[in-house]
Amino acid sequence: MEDAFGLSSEFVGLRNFTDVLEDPEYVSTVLFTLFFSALVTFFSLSLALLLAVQVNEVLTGAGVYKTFLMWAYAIAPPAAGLVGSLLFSPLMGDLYNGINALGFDFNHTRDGSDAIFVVVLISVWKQLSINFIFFLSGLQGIPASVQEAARIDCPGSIKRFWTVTFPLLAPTTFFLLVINTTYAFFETFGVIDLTTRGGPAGSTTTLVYKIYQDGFLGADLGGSAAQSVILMLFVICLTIIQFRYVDKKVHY
Amino acid sequence: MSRVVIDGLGKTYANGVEAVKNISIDIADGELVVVVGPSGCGKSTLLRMIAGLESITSGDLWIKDQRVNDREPAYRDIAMVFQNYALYPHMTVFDNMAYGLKNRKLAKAEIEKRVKEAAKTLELSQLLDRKPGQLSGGQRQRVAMGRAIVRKPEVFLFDEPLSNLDARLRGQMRLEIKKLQRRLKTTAIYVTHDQIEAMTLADRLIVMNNGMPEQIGTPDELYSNPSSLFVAGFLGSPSINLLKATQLADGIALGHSQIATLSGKLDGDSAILGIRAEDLRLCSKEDADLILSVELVERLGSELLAVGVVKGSNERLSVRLDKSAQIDEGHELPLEINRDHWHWFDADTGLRNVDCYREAISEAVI
Ligand SMILES: Nc1ncnc2c1ncn2[C@@H]1O[C@H](COP(=O)(O)OP(=O)(O)OP(=O)(O)O)[C@@H](O)[C@H]1O
Ligand SMILES: [Mg+2]
Repeated sequence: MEDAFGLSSEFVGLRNFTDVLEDPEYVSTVLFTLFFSALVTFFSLSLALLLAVQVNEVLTGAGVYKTFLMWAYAIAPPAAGLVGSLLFSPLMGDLYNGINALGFDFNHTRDGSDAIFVVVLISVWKQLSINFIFFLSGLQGIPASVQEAARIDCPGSIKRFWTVTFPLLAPTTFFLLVINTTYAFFETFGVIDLTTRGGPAGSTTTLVYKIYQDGFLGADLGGSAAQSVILMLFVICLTIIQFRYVDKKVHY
Repeated sequence: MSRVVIDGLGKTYANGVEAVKNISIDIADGELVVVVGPSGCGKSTLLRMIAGLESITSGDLWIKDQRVNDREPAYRDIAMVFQNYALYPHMTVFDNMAYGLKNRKLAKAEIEKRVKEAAKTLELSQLLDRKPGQLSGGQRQRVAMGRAIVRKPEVFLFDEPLSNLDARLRGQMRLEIKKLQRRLKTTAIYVTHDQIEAMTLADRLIVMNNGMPEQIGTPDELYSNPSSLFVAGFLGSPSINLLKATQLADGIALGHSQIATLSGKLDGDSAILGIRAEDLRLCSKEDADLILSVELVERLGSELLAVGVVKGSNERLSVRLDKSAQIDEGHELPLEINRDHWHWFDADTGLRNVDCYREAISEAVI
């Protein structure tokens, strides 16, 4: 633990850790991070899969689509966040005008759930293209004749998707699941910093953002370091769980 | 009765390729029809149109007296065996076979009964819990067959189902497929580019060339009465010997460098004569139409195949002889042409034309 001016430090054993874990703000940050990651991962995966399936069916346009979405990914997270914050700026954002014209009182700088909506939307948007590319190449990797055999064996296209296409995409889905969870945990930092700065009132503060806030803005290096260690352990556990339970069903 | 009527079927792909042009055939219940032809002639396209995997751009398709042009594959009551088997890699052998039945809402007991039965027929009983990745090529092929037969469809469709197997297994499976089809009495359409497979399996053959049916008939009909040079050249192993015939003042010259001379008269300046390897016979030197210098002798057990050039030319011919014939490389064989079984073709159109050639007697009358 250091004093406020960083002039002296003393060894406090695990107190940094217990302090962090007992802090109600930290607990709510953990909950938000889980909620946020689940939302981002779910929407970025399912929307990308939906798009990829559509595009895979109209293969002719695939070349154009692919390059188009690759561009979107090429924009770095801060840029995406900047564009997002412009879109959502109460003064000039087009989306704002659009949404408020529909009769919603939408303001992400004041309302917590609106803020969550904005960061989720932008994070999903940024991750969508890479997921799409992976899903599309996964779909292309399924032999056409297997799909055709399924067309003969199964009349319903939705059932066919869930019984043949989706199980065959499992390796891709699993890979993307790991990547996207990690993305939601760490890489959404840029998006949050540029749009909501963790606010209002900490409603969009993820674990990583809190480390940054406490450590760099609040100068609580000890607490921040403890949070980092906890976060690392947390992500390792999550990844192990994913590998343990999902991996079993993935291989064929 | 699962009669299949193909009426003027045609396919033009989006890119303008006309892959199949106007094919018609009436396939009787229980008949096994083989579609054969060189690569790219449109065999798979035709089969896929029948399966419903490819849209039909012209003509009509009737299965069991119902027009099925616009029906989804699952509603045509067909089962297909693909060249690469197209098994579902994430399902066990049992599930691979049961999948089509489950989706058709069959009772569980019935599904189990049918799958077990098919597995027994195909000797797959021990493998029902395996995934396709853990099977050999031959076993996968049998699972693909099993998936088709448990369905008890009106029509079996096969797209080169044996081409990924080694020669021995291919011959064995060919026999099994024929036996199975005979036992189940299910109408079947079988695509292959292998003419031996085609000849041995077919009740009737469709020889395709460039999207067009060149000739339709039983294997015997097509072998002994090929309607064109294409059919004659495609069926039979070794390939039929083809010689150019040119009208001379005093007879007919065969080959480019006049390897033999026939008496008689051509209708026109030239024609093409086709002689199968078995229609060249050993004879005495005086009766010989030509002398063959043997380059290679293949002993096939029951018979013997000699390939050589006609003496004094580079015209290459093959001859099928009895296994007892005492010949060897370097020998010179006097051969006569069996005039009862020769095939005359028009030099310009390549079509069979028996009137191309008139015998010497009629020449005398003129
Ligand atoms: N999807 C497609 N789009 C455009 N042209 C195609 C398509 N599929 C096939 N063709 C063309 O149609 C023609 C017939 O193809 P098809 O696959 O029916 O041949 P095939 O007789 O089965 O040949 P093989 O013995 O090599 O399998 C070929 O010229 C091929 O290039
Ligand atoms: Mg083919």
